[in-house]
Parts: sequence; structure tokens; C-alpha cells
Amino acid sequence: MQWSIAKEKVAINTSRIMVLLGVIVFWEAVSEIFGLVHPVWISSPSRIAKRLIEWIAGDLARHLAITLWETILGFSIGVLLGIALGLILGLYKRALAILDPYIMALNSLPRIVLAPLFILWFGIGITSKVVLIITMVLFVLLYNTIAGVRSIDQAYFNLMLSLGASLRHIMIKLVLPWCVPYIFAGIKLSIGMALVGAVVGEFLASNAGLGYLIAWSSSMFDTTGVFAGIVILMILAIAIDQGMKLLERKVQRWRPGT
Amino acid sequence: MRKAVMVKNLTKVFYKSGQEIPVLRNINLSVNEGEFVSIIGPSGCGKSTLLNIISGLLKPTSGEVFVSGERVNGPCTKVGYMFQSDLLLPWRTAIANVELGLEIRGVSKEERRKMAEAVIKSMGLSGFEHFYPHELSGGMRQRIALARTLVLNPTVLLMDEPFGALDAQTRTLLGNELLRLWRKYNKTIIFVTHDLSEAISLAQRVIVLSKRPATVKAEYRVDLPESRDVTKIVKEDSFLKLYSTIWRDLTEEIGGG
Repeated sequence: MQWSIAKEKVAINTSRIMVLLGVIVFWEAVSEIFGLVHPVWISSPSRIAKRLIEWIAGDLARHLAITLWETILGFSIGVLLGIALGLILGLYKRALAILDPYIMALNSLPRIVLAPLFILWFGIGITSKVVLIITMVLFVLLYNTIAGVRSIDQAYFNLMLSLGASLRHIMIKLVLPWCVPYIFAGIKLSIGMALVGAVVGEFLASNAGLGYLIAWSSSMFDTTGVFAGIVILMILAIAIDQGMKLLERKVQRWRPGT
Repeated sequence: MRKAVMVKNLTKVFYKSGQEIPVLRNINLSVNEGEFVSIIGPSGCGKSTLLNIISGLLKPTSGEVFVSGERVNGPCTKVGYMFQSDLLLPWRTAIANVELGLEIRGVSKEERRKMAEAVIKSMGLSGFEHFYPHELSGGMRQRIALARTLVLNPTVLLMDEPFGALDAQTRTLLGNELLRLWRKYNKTIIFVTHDLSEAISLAQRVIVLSKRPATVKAEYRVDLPESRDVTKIVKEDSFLKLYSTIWRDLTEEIGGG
């Protein structure tokens, strides 16, 4: 039983690598080997690899650090604010009833329309990106936390009160841990968004970061540079996703079936 | 004899979409210290509301409740409350669930571990301390919930159909277990149920509530020995006689429209 699961895993991983290799070989063949499409349009894996090596030797680390810093900062603040507001609005139904339409309206705005305002207010440095990311992440966590609080049966609150719990106890020992799976779902959804927010923000106005790198390459009609930036973004996305899965398993060991 | 619980002229009215819904009407009852009383009534008659008020979770519309002579005004620490479902926190192990109330009351870590272990042992659940709720059977979960209540050493134990979700066999087993613990710790127990056989087989006194708005319709003394076996007692003549008498009362309430 265990053995066949392990074998299955190996088979899946092998096939994944085959898919990747297949795409790379096909791409290389189309552009470089047979010259079906000129590399000016679609670049090629070998050109991208060469460019990545050049970048790594150059100042990729600085751009990457700036993008990651914006992502982490905006994401963390957005998550904390979203959870805090979600707990308050989840517990105080009256407040939620009053604010609900405004939250809805704000959340349905495409954030990109706010970006020019943030650049105007906070400049082209990291602050404008961090604020943009916060506006994206906050609502996801807000809605998920509210849903988490709402899913707690009133009987649990009665139990806590009958045990002599204060509001602080109820928050720490019941509400917050109860919401952990909901918060996690929100985190998983929004961490990718945070990265997108950073890149989009940099795309619009900046002087450093991955988005800047891609925008700059694109303005030079340098497809290899654009693809090299995209590859780095994809690697980041995969790394973040794997990291989240690992963390989730650690935190939610008590759940049946994990 | 001292009174563990006194309920005086208790009335409760709920308000729902502008309408008054009277749930309890002028209820008077008193329970002696160390007594085991069961309360029975048609379903939806307000039994849980009565327990919520005695425990201090709900405020009465009028009337008063006293526990050990003190007027109840907000959640009362002398009262332990067991609910219809076990309400174990799924991310806590069995022993951590038992410790929940102790944590809230600020008992030190070593102290509460010791207390929780002792209660779990007395309930015959040693070895399951570090199991998560989803790894335990329904009966075990409800026993852990009972342990969580008992470890706080309440004078009065309120039980709201605590075995209602369990199968018949587990139910009688836990009934015997509860009687054993009641004799051992000498608690006052108010046990709400809609199962007449359970009400008689456990208690020394059965209080029958009318349909909503509930009042005390009748009271019966159960003349059965304190050390009884729930599985055997249901076949005795005195049990059967009492059963049919109370059953008449109940059918009046259920059928009497």
C-alpha cells in the first residue's frame, strides 16, 4: 500500500519533468533549430537561460529583493489587518450590516485603477506597491475570517461563557483557532495576488524590481528579457505554493485526513 | 436540607420579529444539595431555556434563580453545564479539552495537567489523553466533555440531553457511569431529557413540564434505590408503574393540542 503510493509519486514527478522537457525542446526546435518562428517574437530557452545567467551575475538579486520585500511587507500587513477587521466584523453583526455595502463596493474595484492614485500619493518607491498589495490582500482575509467566525455554532460561545471565559479568552481559545483553516485558505489565495500586485505596481511606475525589469525589457522589444522575468516569477510562484503547503500541513495536523 | 438550586416565579419571553413568544411561565422549583433531579417535557417546551437561565447564560424576563443561596446574575462558576453535543474543540487533544476551563480560570500548567489526568483516569479513559476528538467514539467524546465539566468541581451540574446523540447501548452505559460519579463526588444534578425511561432510571425525582409556555405540571419521587443498575431497573414493577403514570401526564401535553 505505502509502496504503491510512493511509486505513484515517483511516476507523477517523472511525468512532470517530461512535460517540462517536452515544452522546452519543442520551443527550442521551433525557434532556433528549424527557424519556424523568429526568436525576436518568442525568444528561445537557450537565449533565456543565457540571459538569466547574465542577470544573476548582474543585479538580479537587488531587483528580486525589492520585489520580495514589497510582497512580504504588503502581504503581512494586509493579512493582519484583514484578520483583525474580520474578527471584529464577524463578532459584531451590527457593524458588518452597516459596512457591508461599502466593503463590497471597495472590493469590486479593480485595484489597477487605484494604482495611479497610490503612485501620486506615495511616490514611485516601495510604499505605493505595498499599499496596492494591502488593498488586494486585505479583502480576501477579511471575507474569509468573517466566514470563519460565522461558522462557529452559538453553542460553543455558550460553552466558553459557562466555563467563565472573558472576551479575550473567547478570542484566543475559540474564535482564532477555529478560523485557522479559513485564514489559511485566504493566505493561500492572496499570496499569489501579493506578488502580482508588486509586479503590476512596478510595471506602472518604478525604478527597480522584477516588474521594472520586465517593463524595461518590453519597452526595448527584448522578448528574451520579458521571458526571463516571467520564468523568475513562475519559479517564485511555485516556491511560495510549496512553502504554503508545508506550513499548512504543520499547522493543521489535528484535521482528519491530513 | 440546604437548597442547591432555587427557581422563583421564573418567566421568560422571547421577542421575535415584533412578536412576544412566552417560553417559560411562572416556574418554581427547588433542588436539594446532592439531589439528582431530571426534568422532562415535550420537545421544544423550553427545557434548554430553563437550563440556560439557571446557568446564568440567559437573563429571565422576570423571577429569580439562586444557586447555593446566591442570586444568579451572569455565568456562574458554581455551575457546570453539559450540552447536547460534546462541543470538544477539534484542534485540542482530549486532555487539552479537559484543561480548557482550568486554563480560563488561570490554573498553572502542571496543576491543571495533574487535575485533568486524575479526572480522565476516574472516567476510565486513561491512554486516550492525547487522542484528537475525531479519533474518539461518540461515547468517549461525551465522557471527555463530562470530564471537562467535572474537573472544575462545580456544586451543581446542569445536563441538557447530554446522551441524546448516542446509541441506546452507549446511553445506558454512560447512565450507569454518571450515577457512579454522582455518588462518588456527591454533586447536585439537574438532568434534562425527553426520554422518560432515562429520566426515571437516573433520577431521585422527576419534574414534568407542560408544553410551551412551560410550567411545572407535576413532580414525582422515584422510589428506587440510589445504587441501581440502569439496565436492570427498567424491568422492575415500581419503575413500570411510575413510567405509565408519568407517560399519561406527558401524552396530555403532547396530544392535548
